[in-house]
Amino acid sequence: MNDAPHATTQQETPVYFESDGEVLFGLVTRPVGESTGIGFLTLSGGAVPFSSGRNDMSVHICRRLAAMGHTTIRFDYHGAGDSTGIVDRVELGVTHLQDTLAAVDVLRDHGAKQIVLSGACGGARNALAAAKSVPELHSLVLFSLPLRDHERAHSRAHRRAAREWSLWQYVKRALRPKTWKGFFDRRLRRVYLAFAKEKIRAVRRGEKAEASAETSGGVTSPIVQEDLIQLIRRRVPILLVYGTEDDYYKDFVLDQDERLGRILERGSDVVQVKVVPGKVHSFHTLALQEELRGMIFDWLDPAKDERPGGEAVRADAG
Amino acid sequence: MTERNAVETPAVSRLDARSGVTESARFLGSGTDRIYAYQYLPASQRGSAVVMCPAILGDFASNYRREVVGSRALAARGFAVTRFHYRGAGNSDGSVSDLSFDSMVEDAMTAADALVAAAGVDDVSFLGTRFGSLVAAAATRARAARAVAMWEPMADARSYFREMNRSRMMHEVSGGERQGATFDDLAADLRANGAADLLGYTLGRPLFETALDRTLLGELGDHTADVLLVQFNLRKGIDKSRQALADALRAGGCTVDLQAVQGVELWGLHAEGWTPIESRTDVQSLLQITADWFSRRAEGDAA
Repeated sequence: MNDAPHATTQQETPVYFESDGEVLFGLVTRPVGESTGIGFLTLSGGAVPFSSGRNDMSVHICRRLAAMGHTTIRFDYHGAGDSTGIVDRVELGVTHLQDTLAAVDVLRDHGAKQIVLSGACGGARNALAAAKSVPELHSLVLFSLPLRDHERAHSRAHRRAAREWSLWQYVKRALRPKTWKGFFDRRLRRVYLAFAKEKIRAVRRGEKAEASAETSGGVTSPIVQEDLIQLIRRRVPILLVYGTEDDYYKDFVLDQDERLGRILERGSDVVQVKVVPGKVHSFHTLALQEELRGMIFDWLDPAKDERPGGEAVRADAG
Repeated sequence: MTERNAVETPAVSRLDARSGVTESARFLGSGTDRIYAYQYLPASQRGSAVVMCPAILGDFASNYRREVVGSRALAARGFAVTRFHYRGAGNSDGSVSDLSFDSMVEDAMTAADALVAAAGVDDVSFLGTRFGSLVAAAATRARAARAVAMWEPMADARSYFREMNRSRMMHEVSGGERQGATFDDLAADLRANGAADLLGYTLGRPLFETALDRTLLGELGDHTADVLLVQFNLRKGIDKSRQALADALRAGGCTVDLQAVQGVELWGLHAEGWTPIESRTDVQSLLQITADWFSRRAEGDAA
């Protein structure tokens, strides 16, 4: 933990709460000083599915935010950490939806008037899925949001494209002005290179493209698209963060010319996209962890007002 | 905590209707130096208790649920059990700069004291996982405990740090980031910066320096105990290094039961696909071996 003020276990209370017949375990961190009325829920992803998070990242975030006056909760989904239950199959945004909403209730019970949902990978999908059931939503902070539904999510985007796009489709995409613009961005160049290399390999192996319904309408799940549309209509600020090495970022880039791109363009006054070098998905370096934590702190620091449309969602706005 | 202090704040508890085990979460100690502890008290106790000393760094996360289900399995067999997070890690107070080998052993002792007070038992054994085995060994001697179980134990801390650094090197080289840093680079990094990045986990200088020369044999010292060593690996059979460790412990007067569990996952690495911990045959086997071993000892004592 760095030198910035943070809460300690003195502000923390272990809690049990029910979700769909299981008992979930969590830790609520109360504000150190006066409460802002904002409740922050951090949702873990599948790689480190327990409340402390990788390298105790969730602990650091919750304690620092509590020092800023926010109430926070970190908890274990059913079948993970200290909670009861068992999960045989994970469906993004479905399996842990009730758990997420139950944790929101705990925040309400602890006095939160507005709710921030934050998550990484699968946790980001849980946050997005839960958002429609949280009327007092303050904002969302989503790290490496998977855009596809689960069955398709784990196949690398560039490999999938190599399998599914014809050479002509590659050329067509390469000739788009947006792609040309992207060549001036070092990070995007690397993404394009990965796509090109994989296709060259596929051609050398004599593989022919298999037609896919995804290639025409984009790869983003319709559920994700609808959830984003609803949030943009509600003017809920969203921070989307990707790493250049995230597979999900490749999907994100891929769909900028599709419906997702148009949705985000329409919501550009409430959606902020940040792209950082490396792999956000697994939080795999300390430097990256610090940078991502900093994004959350800035997002929820009233003095910095990082959020697009931030004026409309201040805790004291009513 | 300068003195061992099992002062407890009110715990949050729940009774598991299926097993009859009461689980509770609490903070031990006082001020801003408290240990997060989780206790399991069975309805019908054997009069024995087990303190689980957790793994650290990446192993802490990958082993977490295994320790939870292991604790529940032991409690279902009548043992009072506690798990805890070292100060400077997990939900406990402190930062990595507070974490040292000595503080880890002290935390294990504090957790043991709190469990004894809660369960009303005297017979305390330890269970260490990976690096936690070194802590469990030290606590076993300090408390003159008669038994210690170890899951995938490390024979010495130096090998553990080397292994972690090798993982980092392989990751860096395979990712084309840079030439992997050597073990000497790691030590220099720690001296210069006070902490090092081991694949997204913080290794602090105090832990590195206070643990580096610790060995499992050294921590047990001249104390003799019943020892269960469980090797958890992809291959069949017992590794030579584990056999040598068992032989050395026996030579020191310990009674050693060396077992192997053939698994689908190495510690810290994720296999293809995913099966819940509870459903995995290797984990079930690990828990069965462990619970049977502790039960045999308890039954032997009772007889």
